[in-house]
Amino acid sequence: MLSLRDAILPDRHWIDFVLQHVDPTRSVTRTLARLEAIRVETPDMKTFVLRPVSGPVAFVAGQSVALRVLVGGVCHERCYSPSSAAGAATLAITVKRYAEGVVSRWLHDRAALGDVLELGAAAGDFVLPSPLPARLLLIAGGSGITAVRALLLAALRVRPRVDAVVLYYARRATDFAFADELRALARRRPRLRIHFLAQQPGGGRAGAGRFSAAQLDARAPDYAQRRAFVCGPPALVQAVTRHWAAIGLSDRLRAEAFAPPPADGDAGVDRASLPVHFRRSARTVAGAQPTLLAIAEAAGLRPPSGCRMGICHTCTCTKVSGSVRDRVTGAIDARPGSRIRLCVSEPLGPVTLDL
Amino acid sequence: MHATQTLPDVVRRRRSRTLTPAQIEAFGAELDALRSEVLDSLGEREAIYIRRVQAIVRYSEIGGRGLLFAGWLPPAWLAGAGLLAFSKIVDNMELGHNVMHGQYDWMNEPSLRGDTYEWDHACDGDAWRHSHNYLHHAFTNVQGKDRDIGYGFLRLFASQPWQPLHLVQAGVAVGLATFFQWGIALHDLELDEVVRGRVPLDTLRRQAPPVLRKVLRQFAKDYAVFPVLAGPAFLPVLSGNLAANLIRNLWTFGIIFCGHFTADAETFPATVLEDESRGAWYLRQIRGSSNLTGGPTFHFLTGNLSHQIEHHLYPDVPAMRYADMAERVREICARYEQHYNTGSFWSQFATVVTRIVKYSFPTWSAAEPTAAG
Repeated sequence: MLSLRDAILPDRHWIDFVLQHVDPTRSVTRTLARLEAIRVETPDMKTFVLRPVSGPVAFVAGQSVALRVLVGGVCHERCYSPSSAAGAATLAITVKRYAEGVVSRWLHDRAALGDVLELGAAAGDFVLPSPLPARLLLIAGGSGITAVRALLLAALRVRPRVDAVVLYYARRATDFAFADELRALARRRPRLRIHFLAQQPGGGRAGAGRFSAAQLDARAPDYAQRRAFVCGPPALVQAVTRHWAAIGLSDRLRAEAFAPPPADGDAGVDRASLPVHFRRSARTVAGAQPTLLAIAEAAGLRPPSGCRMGICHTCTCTKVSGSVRDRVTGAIDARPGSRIRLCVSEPLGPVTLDL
Repeated sequence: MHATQTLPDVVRRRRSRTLTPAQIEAFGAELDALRSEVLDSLGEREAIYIRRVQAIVRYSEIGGRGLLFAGWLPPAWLAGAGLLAFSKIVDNMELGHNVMHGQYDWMNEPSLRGDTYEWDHACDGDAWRHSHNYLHHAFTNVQGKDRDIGYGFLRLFASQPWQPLHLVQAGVAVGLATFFQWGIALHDLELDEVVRGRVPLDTLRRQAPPVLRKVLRQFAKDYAVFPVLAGPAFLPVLSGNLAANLIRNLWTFGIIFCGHFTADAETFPATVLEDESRGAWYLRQIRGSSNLTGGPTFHFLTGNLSHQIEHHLYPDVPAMRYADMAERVREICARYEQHYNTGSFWSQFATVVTRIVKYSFPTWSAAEPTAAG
């Protein structure tokens, strides 16, 4: 029942505490990386090159890797799609600076070469299927290009003459990251077509506007025969997902949004009347917010949270009872005592949480 | 006064004014506002503080255990045992107990997460989270619900039925204080209820393995691994660890018993839980808890459990803020004419000892009215 190892080995955080005194990049509980280079991509996007101390971080192109930084005493976690090749000694992430973004602002304004940052495990199913489909359609919006570019480079490595169309949306003509690299790539690969679609007019050209079926028909008329991937802000991902659903090809589209999509207004559940009971805090609130995480925070609780989009599992908590829906997959979970991610779970009835 | 006749029993109390439902609600709203205010202000100061506490625990453990390795020298043994006792006390109280309440979850620091933290104590973290964070904190001093009332074998309130075994409970209490960590470790298994047949044996079989694993691990760590590692200093390390654990046990027993079993602490019948409002829950926490006065060092060494009232109102607010919050809570209680139970350690502890002796006799059965009247 009690192994010798159990009895003798100290707590792993204890080992870390000792190691930190020897070398701040050594750890048995965390993957640490040193910031090696910072490159400016666009006015509000920078690439950060990290060298993980204990060797490459395992991921598949298109997946995201969690990055944790300490800001004001709080460890914040965000998920980024590496823009470097899988298996490389350094890991590059390209980050857009948001005025309200705690982590993106810290990275852009405060991070310095030599800083030691913490990485999490890779996650996500936004990856190329195997074997590689004959024809691809990749749609990117804003910093969604990081994941889409990763898919494209991975596809070109598998099959250099892959037939691919890329639709790359950004607000202005100056907002296209990796533009030179992508243009050069398209020149060398005749079966690769990349369309840069600036939504606002600029540089003497009219704006391309938002994603539409007509636009799709003009740029990739055979899109129904292509395996499609879309990554970008929720509005773009939703528009694309709806279109593919309307033509009955949802199974040929893989989508990844930066934030969980807002709940359907016609779900038929009057959420404000659903009681959510926090067992440890001994309080019950009516959950007016879309997710259990938001409901808990509105009630004054501070459960740990990370990416807030269902990736990092930091907010995983035991649901004592009740039925919830996963807002990303739509899966309904009514099992008592199951572990759920608060940030993507919405209550479908009265719910009791071990918080 | 017809309005008060329909109120739950919890609001009737000798030393506190009876509040109307509207007043209870306003009282709760004021306490909620204080909670939000403090939660919104959490940041770097608290994060630096708890990391420093974590470092103090680790440095003092290294120092204490290191000194005991030279334990054949009496001064080294004394200093080592003292430092290790200090380390265990701070680890169990200001660090472990508070972190396990989720007080620092907002930091997102994996080594300070409430739902996974393990401490230098024989009690398994998950068992503690159930018996303490849930049963004791949600149902504070509610008879039949809060198993911390007398820990299943001490009779501390008139409402508890007397049994002949209670005649020797003063001796039992001394034993419990001496072996407090083992008592707490087995507490969540509810062995008394298993013996009485109220908890099925299957439940015990399911819950026992993780609890026993932690008990054995802790026993092995203090009484086998470190003494053996010390080689020739086997005996001084063994005795030093025994002494450190004993000091920690007596100290935590004293502080914890002063939290809910002082003269003015009240217990409640299970009926108070029916439709208990947020405000009424706050009132019950205040009436079931008692504070200890003292300086900053004393508060630190109690893990700020000397602010037991504030801890029960706000179990997941960082305890280092309780001292400031106490002034505000006291002021709110004064305005609503609610008794705020506080006193020095020795004066409060004397009333606890009085309770242990007094209720070992059957004569005190209905003499003292409980909050239920």
